[in-house]
Amino acid sequence: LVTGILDLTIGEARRLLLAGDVTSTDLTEATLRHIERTDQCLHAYATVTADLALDSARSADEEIRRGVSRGPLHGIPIGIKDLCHVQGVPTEAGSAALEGDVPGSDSIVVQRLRSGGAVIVGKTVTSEFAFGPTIRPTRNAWDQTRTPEGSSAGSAVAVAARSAYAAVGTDTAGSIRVPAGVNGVVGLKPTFGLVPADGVIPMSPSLDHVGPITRTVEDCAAVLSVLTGSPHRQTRDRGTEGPSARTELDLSDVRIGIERTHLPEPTIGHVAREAAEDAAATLEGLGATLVEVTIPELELAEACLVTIKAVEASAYHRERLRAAPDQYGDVTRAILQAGAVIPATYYAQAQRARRLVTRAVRETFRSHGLDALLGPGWGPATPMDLSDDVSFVPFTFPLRSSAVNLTGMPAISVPCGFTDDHIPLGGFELWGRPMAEATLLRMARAYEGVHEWYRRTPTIAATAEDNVG
Amino acid sequence: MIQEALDAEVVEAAARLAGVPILEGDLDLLTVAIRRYAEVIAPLLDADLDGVGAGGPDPEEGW
Repeated sequence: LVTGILDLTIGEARRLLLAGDVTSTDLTEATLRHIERTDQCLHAYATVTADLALDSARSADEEIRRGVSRGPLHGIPIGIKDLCHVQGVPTEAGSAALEGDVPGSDSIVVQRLRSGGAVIVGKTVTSEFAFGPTIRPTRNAWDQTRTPEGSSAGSAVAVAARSAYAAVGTDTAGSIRVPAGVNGVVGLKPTFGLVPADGVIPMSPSLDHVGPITRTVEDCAAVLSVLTGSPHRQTRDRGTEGPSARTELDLSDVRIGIERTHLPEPTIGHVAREAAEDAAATLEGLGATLVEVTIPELELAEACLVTIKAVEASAYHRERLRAAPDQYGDVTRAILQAGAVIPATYYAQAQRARRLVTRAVRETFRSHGLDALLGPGWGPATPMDLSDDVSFVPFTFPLRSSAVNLTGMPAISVPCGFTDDHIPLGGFELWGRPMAEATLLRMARAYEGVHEWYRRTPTIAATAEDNVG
Repeated sequence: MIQEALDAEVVEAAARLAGVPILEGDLDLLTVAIRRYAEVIAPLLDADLDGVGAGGPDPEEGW
């Protein structure tokens, strides 16, 4: 019974809640038991808020019994990345610098989730202040010898492992989409500013985005609708009636660009490329028109993003770094120190290049009449590097899909299958026009309807020692 | 400047100029970080940005 409850999508759980066949307390207790059983192995959670969750669940049950509906997440257990303030709950951002820090108020996304009746079961693990592409304690949900990627690793692992029905993540350079991809779940980076970042510890304020990580595209639409401030709010989209309302499989009115030359990062392997090609073929089979495009300016994306991110992050941390440098981890401190050394003229150059990239992508959408661009994801998760040799720390995600953090356009990572070893292929990405989340969700939902990869469940070892030497 | 900052002595001087605290043992990792940044940022320095203007995000302009 417990496994059955945990395998429900949000939509399925919601229907059972409204029918009185299950309670929010049932969902929450099952989730908390599952976390207790698996999190010594997975380390998806920094803090579990069991008492808070059970109180919220009982309130939700009482309201649902009275016929009060707060929307699609009413009574649903949710995880929150440990960068987002939750009143009365430690928010430590994975750093000793914030150890014991308890915010006095909620971030706006948490306000909206609470207002929508969501049940917060805990704070999910992030790399320190969201820096660094790997998080050592957290393990991939599908193979605990492999990396979960970062920085929203805890959120992605929790959702994949059934330790939350959905989670909130942040994405400055791929940190929602990449961990979602390697853990076989859906991750959406919304249009810049669509989901407020107030009360979320920033990394790079002009690149930061807050968004949902879920098991299905329909669930993603449900969480996004709450995070944007109203379950009934419409994004500005052409001819659609809202993110969750379009579930048809016919994509014959959709044009999707494929950039095979400059979008795939040269280091991306053939598995990720082939997965993206297979996804494109599936979408074409649903009626979408594929259009070959080239955007050479994407080759500037990484240089541009690294410069802006490093400088903005260093500026944000400047005072704390000067006051207490020893409270940061060695790699994080090096990143912040290096960001302070980058000349201001480079930052200005990066902002100009950012506009060049944005114009090039926009012009490609306009001239080809595109609804989306399709690109590869990260590829399958790699084995954890447990060595202490920091000379190989890459300091950045070498991923040109971080261009969407520069342009502010929405992007979604969609699960696209498994390797022969039952490891997620890493997803593929769809980018859309600003505020056209509904179009992306419609395409992703159509793809998901063909394959239903989300029905697969990961196997989790009882303890980390079972799998990792 | 960053491209030339390839040894610890130069890195330390740059960090001091920027007012960044350097702890004992920091210079090796900081040097690795700056070398990596210099490598990644290099294409930006040669980019042709004529006519681009001041820059910055414009996600809603003309889509």
